[in-house]
Amino acid sequence: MSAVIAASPGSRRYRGWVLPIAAIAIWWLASHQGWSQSGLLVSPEKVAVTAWEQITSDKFWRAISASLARNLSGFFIGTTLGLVLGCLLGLSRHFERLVGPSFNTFKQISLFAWIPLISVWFGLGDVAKVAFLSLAALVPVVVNTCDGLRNVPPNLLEVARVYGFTRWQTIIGVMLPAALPSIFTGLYLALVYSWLATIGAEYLLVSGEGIGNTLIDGSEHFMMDLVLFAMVVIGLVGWSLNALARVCERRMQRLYGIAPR
Amino acid sequence: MLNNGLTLENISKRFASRPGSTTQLQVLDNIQLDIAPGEFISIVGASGCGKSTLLRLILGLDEEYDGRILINGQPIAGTGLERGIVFQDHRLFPWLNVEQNVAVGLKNSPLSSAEKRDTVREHIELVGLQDFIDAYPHQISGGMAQRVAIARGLVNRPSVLLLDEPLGALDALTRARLQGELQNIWAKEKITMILVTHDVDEAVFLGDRVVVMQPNPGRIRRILDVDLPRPRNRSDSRFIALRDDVLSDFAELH
Repeated sequence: MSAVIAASPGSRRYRGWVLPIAAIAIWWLASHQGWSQSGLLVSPEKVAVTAWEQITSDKFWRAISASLARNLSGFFIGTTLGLVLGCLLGLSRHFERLVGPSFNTFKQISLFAWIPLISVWFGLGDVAKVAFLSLAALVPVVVNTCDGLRNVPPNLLEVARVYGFTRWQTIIGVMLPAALPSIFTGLYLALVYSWLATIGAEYLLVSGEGIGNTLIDGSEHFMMDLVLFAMVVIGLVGWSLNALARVCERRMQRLYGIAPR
Repeated sequence: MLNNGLTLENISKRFASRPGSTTQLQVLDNIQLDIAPGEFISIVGASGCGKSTLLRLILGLDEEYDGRILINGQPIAGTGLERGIVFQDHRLFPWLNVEQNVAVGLKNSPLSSAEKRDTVREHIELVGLQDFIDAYPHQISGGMAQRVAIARGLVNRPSVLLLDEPLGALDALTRARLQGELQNIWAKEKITMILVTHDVDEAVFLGDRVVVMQPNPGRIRRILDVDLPRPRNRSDSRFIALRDDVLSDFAELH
């Protein structure tokens, strides 16, 4: 009896595919049975053909590399500033009292509310987009770095006192390593947010090349096949960045003896 | 008696019962104790008798108290490398391996790096962990982690090693084995050890003297000499008599 009920681990692993495959099947049926007369309902084959055209074109690769370059510059600028600011907030009571309240107010402002100001200051070009991305990456890094440094177990700080660690030795030898998992969470979130913000920036600060602009092209010309293809690409890039961050996180957790989630 | 030993002179300690409150809780009341160099002192007492607080004062982590603590005739100021500690929780740094964790004890020692490496190795061998030198704290058992903590506490060659219920969190078998090892280490290193414990058996097994403390306020009830040859035999009738004597103090308190 139980053998009939229990699915093998192999079949369980493929269960996640059921929904997308069913959705594509319904989509295919809808476009072929003429359920809708709208020209906006394109068939899956049409999307596949467009995808192939795009992948074999230079324009697509220029767009995706422009987006990735923007994403990474924003990520690096934002996380670098975020680490500095987070360390200052987490380590210095004076700095915290001076800057903490302002930062806490600042982080409540929705990221997209910055777009008008950013476009006035930096225009619609790459500088404006990277500024916007840096902002997106900055906030989670600051918050998590600061939290990590504040929540170092007092037990370990006592060990540092017992062995006569100087302030500097305590920061380098105890506080930063103890805060590392939290700092990493901040970097992980920054990577995810900065990719989301890349698409947002390209969509709202329309100028130049990028995968977000491909999306706009498709939408302006009512080319739903192009829109769908761009969405899939954006999803895949996001998924890859996420997977990359997860691999790094696992390695670090193993070193720290934290069970992987 | 004053030179080379540890002297506690009229130690009293009060905490505010609540932060900001003026009513004060007397945690330690007029503790007097002279400890000879190389002596093993066990401090037993029910929880709340201030025995761990006393250890924190000797360690120098808490400097707000009345009275004087003298080492070799000199009052202590803050923490110092001549006083080592093994906490109940091992407090190893999870990002460092066994060797690096022991080396934490030598971070600010004047030794050369070659001397440091040799001293670290020597102490890892002393606690029998030479095969686990590269292991991280999460890869070893609780008993092994506590041995690393003992090696870290000893690596500076302190004149006093403070032991704050170091075996309290371990299972009975591991605890018994480590009590034996602790005794061997003490005999070999010839340093003063002060053990705080709530295990009367452990206190009698290891101590030259057993200091019995009682709460409200935390004070010394009495001090017993344990005049038995080492290593001690737990089923020896004199051992049992001493242990029961100490236990009777606790029976009266309840």
